[in-house]
Amino acid sequence: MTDASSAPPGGYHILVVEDEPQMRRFLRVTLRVNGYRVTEATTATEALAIAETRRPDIVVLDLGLPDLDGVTVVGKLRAWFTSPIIVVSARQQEGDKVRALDAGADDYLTKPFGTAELLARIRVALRHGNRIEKEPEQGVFQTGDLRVDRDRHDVSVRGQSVKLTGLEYRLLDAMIRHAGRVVTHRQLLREVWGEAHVEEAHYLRVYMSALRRKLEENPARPKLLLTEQSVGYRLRSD
Amino acid sequence: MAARSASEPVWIGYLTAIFAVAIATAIAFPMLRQLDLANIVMVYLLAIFLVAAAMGTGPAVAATVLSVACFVYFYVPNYFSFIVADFRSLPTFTLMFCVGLVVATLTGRLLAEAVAGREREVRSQALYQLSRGLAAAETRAAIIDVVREHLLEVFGCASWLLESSPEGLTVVEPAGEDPKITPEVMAFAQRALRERSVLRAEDMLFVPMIVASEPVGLVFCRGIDVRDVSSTAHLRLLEAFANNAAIALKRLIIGDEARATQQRIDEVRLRNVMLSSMSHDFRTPLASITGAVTTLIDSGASLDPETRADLMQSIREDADHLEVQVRNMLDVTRLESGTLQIKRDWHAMEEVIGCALTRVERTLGARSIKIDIPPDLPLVAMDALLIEQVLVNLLENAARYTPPGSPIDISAADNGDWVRITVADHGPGIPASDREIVFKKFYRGAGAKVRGGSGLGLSICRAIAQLHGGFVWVDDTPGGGASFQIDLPSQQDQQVSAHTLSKPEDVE
Repeated sequence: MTDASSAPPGGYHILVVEDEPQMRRFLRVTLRVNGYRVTEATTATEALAIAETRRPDIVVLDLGLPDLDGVTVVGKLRAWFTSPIIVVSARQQEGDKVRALDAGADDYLTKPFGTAELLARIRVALRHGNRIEKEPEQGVFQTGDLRVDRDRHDVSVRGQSVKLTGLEYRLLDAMIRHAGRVVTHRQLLREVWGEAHVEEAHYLRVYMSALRRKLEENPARPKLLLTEQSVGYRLRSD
Repeated sequence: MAARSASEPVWIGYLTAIFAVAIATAIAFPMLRQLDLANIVMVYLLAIFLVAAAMGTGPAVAATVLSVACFVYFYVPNYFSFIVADFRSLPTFTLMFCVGLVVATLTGRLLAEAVAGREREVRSQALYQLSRGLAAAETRAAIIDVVREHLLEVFGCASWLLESSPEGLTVVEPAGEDPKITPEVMAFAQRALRERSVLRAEDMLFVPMIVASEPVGLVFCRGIDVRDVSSTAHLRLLEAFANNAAIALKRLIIGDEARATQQRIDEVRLRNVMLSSMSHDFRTPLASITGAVTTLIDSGASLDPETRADLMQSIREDADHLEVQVRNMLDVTRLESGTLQIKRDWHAMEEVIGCALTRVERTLGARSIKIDIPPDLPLVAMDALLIEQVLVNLLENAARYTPPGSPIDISAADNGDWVRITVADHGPGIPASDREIVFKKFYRGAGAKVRGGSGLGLSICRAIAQLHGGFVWVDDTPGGGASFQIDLPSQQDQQVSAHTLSKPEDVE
């Protein structure tokens, strides 16, 4: 999908870094059909060079590259590169995925993934990447049945006002700042509890559980506060 | 004999000899007038005999010499002098001397043999006890215990087993108290092993252990009484001890090797079954994907939209199926190779169940899923990815073996020590006789038919549950169906609850 109002002429420029030819072909075809310009790189070294000279709008980076590990590549890119990075991982790279996100990647995809998932991630990443300043802390945020008036700290679900505790609200607010994108446990713990508590994911689970019970119709099958197993959480965004 | 003479100083025997002759003299001398010399000789011979029986040859010879001397002194004229005036008594005391010597030698030899026999008996008894103890010992620790106990009992010394390995001699654990092996001690040990002979140094003894003429290590004794091991019989007993211990250790190693070999054979057999099952499980969906895709490429344009959609749907389903197969294979490989490390953390059950449901959404289709999780269920320590996999496998199974559209119930309950998760379907259920077999590798239910699973799903579930110190089994669902239960230890002593996390600022 292209956003006609903000997309540059010829569509957004995506750098695809992937060493497997079949996967590269799938990404190239899918992205081109959907109106993106695609540049391909097969190694991390090549990717770093292209990123510097061509300044892509977004990088889709496979974590299993032959020359450098994905986490290092994200680190090197993030030294100067401000546009979104989406990492693609295989199932055995759970740990790498989380470390890449903590190193500054914006989102991730796990192989095998479908076209819809790929495009949705790119769309959300571009929307966030396009904003010059951080997500505004004011205004009304709305997604699905949830409506949050951030000026008045007023939360309602399906028209019903919901009372949240201070911590619950701060957690929800942090999720809203990253709406649509995955937020790792560390990120959330840092933003809500502070740097000293980044290892204590159980805090998060307890409060997320409480928050879901107040906001979700069925807390075991959340529609708003989605779990990204062993990575973090994602607030659904329309 | 050696042990006896070592424990009873030699001079006691000779003192006894003197004493015995003195008593004989005291008895015989007053009767000189009443008895003739032959009877007197008998009294002395009796004394010699008794000394020989009690004290052995040496003291008996001494008693003989003394007796003859007394006889000459007291009973042969000139009385109270060693000068013999009456030569008629010469044969008497010569004969007495000869008989005394014969008695001393014979009785002494008999005695020595009796003592040696007793000692042989003790030794073989000790050896028998040891080998009986060793035969019953099934671990290295038990073998070492038996050896040390017997050495302590028979020789009163502390002992350790040293094993030769490519790195040199090492103390076989458990070592108990510190053997205090200094470089000097080690040098002695090495020498004993090299020379394959028992070596003694101060109160230490090094006895090589030899199996099939190969030195495999040695028994190191400390605090041994040197006199206890001065005879070859004792050294031989020690060697027998050491060799028995070595054989027992060797037997253990051979047993381990046999077990390992059996395990390898089982693994190879399993791998073969796995490969043949894999090639079938992978080929079927691949064949169908290739077929559908070639149809689409060759005559896609001429197909009606419905057929095309149908083909593409089947490609997708087969691709999903392949993904499941690959995942199961990976899981089995990781579980079996023992490389899988569980990463335990405190997780909300509801979240893990939610993730599993999201993953099987497409497989479950329009089935109604009833979820019952008490809001106060505590967090559970687990590897969420693995438990999620257990739930995914159970849900996929439920979808595979029950009629489409039949409901599935998921519930969780805390009963103190355990948290139990139940996945209950309302299908045909599993007959009681099959409830254990279903967890075996490559077992497939009769209903698996075309969309058969890999036959690995449930075995993976069980392995994962066991890694968590838990268990998974199957039961009846009230009203019909199979009800799979997963029990996970709740580790309540370390429980983390929302209550303990509340912060003062956390108010509405």
